[in-house]
Amino acid sequence: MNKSFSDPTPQPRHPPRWADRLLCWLTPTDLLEELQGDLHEQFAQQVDQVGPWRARWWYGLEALKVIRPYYLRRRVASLANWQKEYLPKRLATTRPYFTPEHLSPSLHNPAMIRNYFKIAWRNLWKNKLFSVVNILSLSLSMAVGVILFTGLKATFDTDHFHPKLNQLVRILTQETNEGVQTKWASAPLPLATQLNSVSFVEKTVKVRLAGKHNLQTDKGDVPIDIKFSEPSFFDVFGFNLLSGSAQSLANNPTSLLLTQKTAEKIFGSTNVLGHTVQFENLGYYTVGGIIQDPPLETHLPIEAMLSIRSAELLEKKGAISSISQDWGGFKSSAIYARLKSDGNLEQLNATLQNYTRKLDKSHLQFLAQPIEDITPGKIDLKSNPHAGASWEDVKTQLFIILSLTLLAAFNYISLALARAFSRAQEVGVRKIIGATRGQVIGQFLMESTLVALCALFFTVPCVTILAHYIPDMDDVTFTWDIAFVVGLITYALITGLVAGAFPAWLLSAFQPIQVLRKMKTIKLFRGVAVYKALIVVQFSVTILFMILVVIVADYDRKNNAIISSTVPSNVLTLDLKGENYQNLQNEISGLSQVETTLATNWYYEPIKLGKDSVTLNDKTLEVNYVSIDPRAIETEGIRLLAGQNFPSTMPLSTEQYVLVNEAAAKVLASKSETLVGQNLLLDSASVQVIGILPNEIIGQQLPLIYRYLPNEITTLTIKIKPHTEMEATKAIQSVWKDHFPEKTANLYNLKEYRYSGEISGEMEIFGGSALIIMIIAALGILGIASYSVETRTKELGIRKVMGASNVKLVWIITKNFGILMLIAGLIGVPAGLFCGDLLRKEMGSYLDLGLINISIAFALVAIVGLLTVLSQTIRAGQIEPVKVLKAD
Amino acid sequence: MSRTYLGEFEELVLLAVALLQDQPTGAYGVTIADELKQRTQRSTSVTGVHVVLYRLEEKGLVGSELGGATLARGGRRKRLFTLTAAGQQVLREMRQLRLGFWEALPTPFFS
Repeated sequence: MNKSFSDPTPQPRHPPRWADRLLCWLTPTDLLEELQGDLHEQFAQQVDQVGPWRARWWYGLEALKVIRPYYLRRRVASLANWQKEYLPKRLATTRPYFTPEHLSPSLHNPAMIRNYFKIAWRNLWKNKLFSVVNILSLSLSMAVGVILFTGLKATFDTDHFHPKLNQLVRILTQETNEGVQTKWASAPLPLATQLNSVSFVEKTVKVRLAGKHNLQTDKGDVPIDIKFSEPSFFDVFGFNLLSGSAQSLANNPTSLLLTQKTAEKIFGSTNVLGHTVQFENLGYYTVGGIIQDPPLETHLPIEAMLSIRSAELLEKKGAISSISQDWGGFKSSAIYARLKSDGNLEQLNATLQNYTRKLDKSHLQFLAQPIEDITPGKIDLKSNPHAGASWEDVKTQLFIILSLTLLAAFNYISLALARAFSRAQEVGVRKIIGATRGQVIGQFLMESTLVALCALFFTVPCVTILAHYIPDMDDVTFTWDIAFVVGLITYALITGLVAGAFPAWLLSAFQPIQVLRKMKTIKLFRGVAVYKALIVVQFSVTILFMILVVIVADYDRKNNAIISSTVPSNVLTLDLKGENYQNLQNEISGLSQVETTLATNWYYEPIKLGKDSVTLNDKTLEVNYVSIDPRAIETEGIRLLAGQNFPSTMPLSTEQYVLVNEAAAKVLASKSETLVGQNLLLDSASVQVIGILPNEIIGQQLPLIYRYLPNEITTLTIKIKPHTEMEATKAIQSVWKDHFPEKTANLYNLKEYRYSGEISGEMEIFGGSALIIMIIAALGILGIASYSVETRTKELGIRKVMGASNVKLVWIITKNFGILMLIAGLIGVPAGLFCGDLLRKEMGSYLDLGLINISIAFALVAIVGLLTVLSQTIRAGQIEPVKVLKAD
Repeated sequence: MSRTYLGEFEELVLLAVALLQDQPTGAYGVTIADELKQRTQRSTSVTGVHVVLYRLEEKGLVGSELGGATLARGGRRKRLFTLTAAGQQVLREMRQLRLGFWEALPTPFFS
């Protein structure tokens, strides 16, 4: 390692702390001092010989070498000795039924562990139903956990494919405007030239984010995300070119680089060098290279790349905004730099202080952010669209993993507790033979970890199935490297230990005298009833999710009904692409297939929104507005709540009147009717509110202002005569071609294009969660129900002899579960109402939290639960008294 | 077998103790590991050497005492090993055994 003497970072002279801790933990106490001393001494030698970093590495390895049988045995023996001294004091009350001739072997003795394993295996084999229930529910929840973990791993691996990662930085801009500080992930382009002259900056890359541009193909427009950059991009970042060269960006301003994915999307192949394509407003470009899709996620996803020189040419033509030399236009350009060594970050930040800029209204400061810190992101940054998960998201995911695992662990806990009676005798006998409590705990923990490890086998197929149904997870791939396998096993072990801890602790506390004296009369303890509480928790959570599923499904259904009844199927929309549309509209209106045309950004719901600040009586608000064709209200027969529509003759130059919707009226004035006739300040112009429209019945309910701004109209809606769609489409397209031959027409059927039945994202998420949780809960209750029949066979037999009918017997057992279900409902329904209300605030007030929806949700869960229970308790009716009672 | 059984590495460690015990540094983990590394060109880890030393001590071939804390060790004492009479005896027997074999070999074998 080449360390210059000016390097400011202090060299670590100490061995790594984790290795020291490991050493303390693993080494037998009496040997620790000398062994650690020797290692430290050798570490000091190593530091002089090979440098601190390799010495630390060596020390870590050396500490790991303590994991060998000799030391471990002695360590365990010393622990056991300590235990022997410590335990008898505490267990004096329970231990000495007789004094064993030999002290029982220590907890961690290999023979003992083998024995635990054997007994655990036999127990699992003996109770196949319970084992299967536990394994299935654990594997299901672990599968979700694994998927989320894989997502987390992808997050942490983001951008790790760039070479010399720790020397790469992104320049951030901190804008201070009237005392308000905003941090941007972008930086002004002129800064790059200045950075280039800094001695420890090896290379800079300018990236200009141009956003989506339409690429014109014969199938219509394909929006492609364009970035402008320079050849050094491929040197600094880990992106590789499959064919072509990066230099073509510098040589030829009409050169275009495509990624594999984009090339496949447009041409269906990646062998397209030299093909020419046309971007709307930008012109013609020739494919000069294919970029390999990056192996990992990145914060800088590329679809198509043009040269930064072509951006300058386009600026001259006025096709894109001119920011190359403008310090103020920093919001859509980014600067990256590679430093000469990773220690230069502080220096760079100090240097960047000198570049602070004063603009008209604000001033800009610059910061360097290591690429590694982008994902998961810690700071709140603007224009940082692909940074991926933030730390908050990471925490949420961890929380979901934890709670799902816990829910499945509940199954194990409740089944284990329900079976406490049958295990009690075993515990009693074990203790009498001389087992310590620790050994009994060990036995139970071994069982639970074994179950979790078995579940791991089923987890993998579950993951592959689930990954298909979870959005954004299709491209999750599993690399079977050691880290992944070790991670999986650790996860299973932890799950097993968590699930086993509580039952082990409770069951191991049995007093042998009590459990062995007379099984029937003892009241073991209240703790066993915990399993009832666990069932209630599981089912309340299920009910909560089911309520969300039902209300969202209800919303979707109603929404679809509204759409199909209001939106006519014979309306086409034509994207105007910023062109002057008067002549076009006249000509289209003249077509024989066309009934009416409307130039509007609103058709039952906003198609394109703008935002305005609105002032009324000293109150200023930000409100969305939409440009509307006044005739839209008339022709669609929408009744105003108050006031009137725009007058038919309106001056085009100055805006006089606006309409508002009910929601906006409510926000603006306490009594909405009084708003009509009042003057509003829209930005700085005064306009009069002329009428109030009812709220939109499709989509979200936003406060909206309807303005007549012919220049901002982007869409022509065309109502055609029924059954003429084919001819009308052809005719309209040919009219468009006459007017704007260089652009393709984007003409769609409104209903098919905007409202073709997609399932909402919420539905997928809630539906998926509800299903998984319900399966887990059902599996749990299945086991418990089966067990409760088993333990009560004798009681049921006697009842039958006494004359109880079969139905009565089934009822006796099922009743208890019904009560649990009701209690779960009492908790789950209010929780569902609460969460539904939160959801309603986010999605608008169409969510119906009425009695019917709630009852449907509750009934669904209750029926599934009770049917599961019945599948077991039905056996109670088939009991033959002779068989179950003959043994007594 | 009446004689104490020694593995190859154990024998080397025992010899290293014999060599180092009278030198000023003394025979302990680090010096023994260094000595072995120098002579055998094998990478030897301190933890491995320690295991062997403890085994030899259990067999009664070496004795040990604590002492000699230094700064580099963070003030921890060393376990200094010395050869016991039994250890010396075993080394001697080993040597005899080997010499016996070599003498029995025909002379051309050496060249």
